[in-house]
Amino acid sequence: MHQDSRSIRISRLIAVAAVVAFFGIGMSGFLSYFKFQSALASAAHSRMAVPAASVRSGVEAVLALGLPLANASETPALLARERTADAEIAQIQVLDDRGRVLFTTDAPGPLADTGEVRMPLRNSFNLRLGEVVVRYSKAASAQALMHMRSRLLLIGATGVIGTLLLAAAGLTLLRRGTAATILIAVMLGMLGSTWATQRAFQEGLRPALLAKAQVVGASIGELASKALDHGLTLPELVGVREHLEGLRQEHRELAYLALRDRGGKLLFEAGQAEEARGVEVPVLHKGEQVGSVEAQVSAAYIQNILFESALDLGVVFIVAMFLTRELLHGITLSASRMDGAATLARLRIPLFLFMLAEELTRAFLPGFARSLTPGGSSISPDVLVGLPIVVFMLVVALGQPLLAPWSERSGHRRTLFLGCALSVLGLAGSALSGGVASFIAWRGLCGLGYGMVFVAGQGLVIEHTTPAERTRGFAMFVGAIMVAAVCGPPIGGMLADHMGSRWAFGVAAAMAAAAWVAVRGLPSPQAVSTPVVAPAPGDFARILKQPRFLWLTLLAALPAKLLLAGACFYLVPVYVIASGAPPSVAGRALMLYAVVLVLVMPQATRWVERGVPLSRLVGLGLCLSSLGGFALLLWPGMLPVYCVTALLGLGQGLSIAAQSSLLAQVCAPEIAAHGSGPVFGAYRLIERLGNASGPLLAGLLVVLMGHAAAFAALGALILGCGLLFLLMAARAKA
Amino acid sequence: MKRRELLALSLLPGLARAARPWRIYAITYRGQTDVERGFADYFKSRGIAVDIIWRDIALDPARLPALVDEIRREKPDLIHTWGTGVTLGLVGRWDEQDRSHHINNIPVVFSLVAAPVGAGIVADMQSPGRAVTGVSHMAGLTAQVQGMTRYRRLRKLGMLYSRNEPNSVAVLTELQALGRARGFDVIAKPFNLDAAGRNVVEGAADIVRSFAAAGADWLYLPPDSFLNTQAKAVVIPAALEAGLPVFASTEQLMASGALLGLVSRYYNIGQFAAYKAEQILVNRVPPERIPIETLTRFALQINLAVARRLGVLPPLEMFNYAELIGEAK
Repeated sequence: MHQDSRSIRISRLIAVAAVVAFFGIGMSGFLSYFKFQSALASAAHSRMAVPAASVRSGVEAVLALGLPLANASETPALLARERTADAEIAQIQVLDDRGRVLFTTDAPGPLADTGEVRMPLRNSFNLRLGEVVVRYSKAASAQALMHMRSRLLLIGATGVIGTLLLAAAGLTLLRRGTAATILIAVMLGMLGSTWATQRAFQEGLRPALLAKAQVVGASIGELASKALDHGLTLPELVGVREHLEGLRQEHRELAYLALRDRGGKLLFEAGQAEEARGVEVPVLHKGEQVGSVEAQVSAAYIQNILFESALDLGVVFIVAMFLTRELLHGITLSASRMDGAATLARLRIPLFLFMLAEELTRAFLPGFARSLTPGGSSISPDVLVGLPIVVFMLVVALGQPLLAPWSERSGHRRTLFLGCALSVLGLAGSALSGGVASFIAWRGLCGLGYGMVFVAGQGLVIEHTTPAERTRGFAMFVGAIMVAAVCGPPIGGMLADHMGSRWAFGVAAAMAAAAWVAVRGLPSPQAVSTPVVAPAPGDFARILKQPRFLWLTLLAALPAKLLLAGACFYLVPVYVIASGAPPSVAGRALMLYAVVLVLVMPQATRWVERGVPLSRLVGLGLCLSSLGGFALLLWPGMLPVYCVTALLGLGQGLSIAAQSSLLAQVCAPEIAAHGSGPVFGAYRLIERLGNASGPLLAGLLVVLMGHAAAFAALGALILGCGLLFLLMAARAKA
Repeated sequence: MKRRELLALSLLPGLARAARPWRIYAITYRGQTDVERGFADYFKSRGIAVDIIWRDIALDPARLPALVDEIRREKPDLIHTWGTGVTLGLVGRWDEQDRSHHINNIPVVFSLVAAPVGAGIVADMQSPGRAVTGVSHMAGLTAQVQGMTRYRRLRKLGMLYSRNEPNSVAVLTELQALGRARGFDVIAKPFNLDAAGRNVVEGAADIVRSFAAAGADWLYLPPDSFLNTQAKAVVIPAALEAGLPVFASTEQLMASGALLGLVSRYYNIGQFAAYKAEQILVNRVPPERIPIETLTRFALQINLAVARRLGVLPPLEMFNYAELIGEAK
């Protein structure tokens, strides 16, 4: 019996390793492929810009001589010359301002699958006269892509198989199935495949960059030849170093440029020569070679691209680790037991999946809303962009008191089903939204679904735990949400980056659908349940009259949620988009918040248990969390954004654990008299209202003072609340 | 009933206008130049039907009053003028009280006025404030200084000018201000005067040599009438002898043998003037609101033969966009 359960366990552990390896290595491969594709496309485009610019300056020079565009007789020769310079150019055309073709090179057949570079032609008083269009074949890029794809597949397959072998070996050797073995196996597998991917990337990208170097070298040679045409000699050329240096600044892929004479002697150079030989392009004058240009590709440039790719892969890595933990928890269930603990354990997977679906959207939601806002609306776009979040939070806040008793009556499992279904609809609708108004409506529906899942989940926890076990039950609940908060934003950001926000919403909808399926694993409701009474208006009136309650909620709980929703959910993604960075940066920053929170909370809980004064923890946490807002005043760029979210995670990690306990402490008489339901209900409601007002307030601040100042203003406001909170706590003790 | 009739009547002229071509009265100073060619070609390329009445004063301003009378009779839609003299003769200074001999009620577009504000044609280039606008051919001094700097270092600039030409004095003041801002010194000396206070060329060669001795990197030749007459024969040869690179601010000075010049193509100026005429006639923009502008792109001309003689060859990047005259063998 023991042997059987152990072998079942091992097979399950291997299954977990397989799932995570598949996800992790698969996602890494997917991301690397897209990154490679965009790197290739941009290399080809920038390379083709060189002949396009050449044609443009040639045509504009002719225009300047006073000849109308359509008559310039030297243009066909110019086009022909540029076209032969690069084998991948399919066609060069000059169009007039109405798009009619004035000149064209002979197209050797139908132009399938070409990229194009367009440059406007302007006359000497800046009037647009037409365009130069260079069309180039993407066949070479396509081939490189296919090659990379097969390499990535090979790496992926090797990685997954390797992980499984490692896991199996570890488990059999250690004679006990440990979670750590799985984690280490997955980690090694992912590290190996990441390293191999980076190597493949480097090898695949180098040829494209060398082709660019070739083109730039050729353009230098042409210019030198022009000077030679007018009677100068190569050694007596003036200002060559400056010209080479200027080209290096313009084309950052090039590390080193040099002009040599016929014998190979170095005449002029710019940049640092590197180990690897670059390309050498001959300088021709009247058919003879009179010198050569050497162009070397910068290793640092490729390193940079690899680094960005590595960041993405690192994020996937962390997510995979957390996912592993979740799945490992999930498999420590046995099919037969149906008691409270087992039910709770079964709740974790659908809850996690559902929360993941929502967290997925955080990084790109404001950016998507921005893209939907119409040009001339009366409401400022900065405020409009926050409205989907506001409506979502409001529906959750106001719905909760009403949904809780409803869930009791209909049964929590049914509510979970309904909540998931509504969210699937809402997320799918969001993906297909045509305008801001419909997007806001769909997000409202998502809020309804979220509210349902939340109250049903909470209800299930209460239903299946004794009051003594309840803290642990809620810890599981919060834990699932936190892990989702770690994994969701970065994945969502990367999905939005590479596939667009609409597809990312689609993935979120699919995830909510998976949650719906997972709910089926929950047992059907038992007859008995302790009815939870919704807080009545009379309750609210009574509770709101208690000064200690107000002190805690208005000066600590509300500001904390205001800061979270305003800074994290609204300002960070909005600022990232406004700075021109991709949504994956926002995803990473939000992930950092969740990771720090997850790491700090256990320590904070220990301090609470050890008797550190609760109000001090709450106040200190609030003040710490607000400090990040000032970072944007000190440094520019994306680094301060990470500061904001990290400090937010740190501060909130400290205060969240203490807050509920402090509430119970502060409102002890109230709880003794009327039970904990009304107080906590009122508390959560005010918290959620803080959630809802955060984006609104932040949006107004952005309209008034711009992004960086909005961060600081919000931080200052919350800091003020925190200090006041601490002050009043100290005075109350005195 | 009455209102509809009035409406129909008011539409008639517009309809009539749409049918017939625009009538433009063009006054030239010395016959047909590239300016006129560019002017006419622009309308052709834009498919705008125009009827241009050409009148030439053949270097004689005394012929202007007769043309003013003709304009008053013919009532053209727009007038195009060539140069400062013709323009001033036609429209008078902006601050003049009595304008009875001038045209006031027909829009005027001019070409080749070097300094419209200095000449008193308008008070402000951005908003002329009267129905007179046009194109200036002077590349801004900043662009000219940039051209010199790009070619060769500019730490000291020598300038020879006529002290009784307000345009040249204005250029000198602006150049000195630029020098302070950009860190180069301006050594300026005027032509010598005779007893009657007129400019003479005696001693000009010595002045040029003194610039070279003082370590000037460039000799700047402003658009100056007297200088124009002496450049080819005296000033530029003296500079060449002294090994001093010469920068020309106009096409004529460049043609006299300067090393480097930033010039406006006459053809492009004509095109630009026609563009402004189009704004007034077709797009119905009031001329008071059309700014007086220069071209955005000028031709940088390098005389390679002079470069070779001076031993000051142009930097490689200029071969990309400069117009090269002569060979540097």
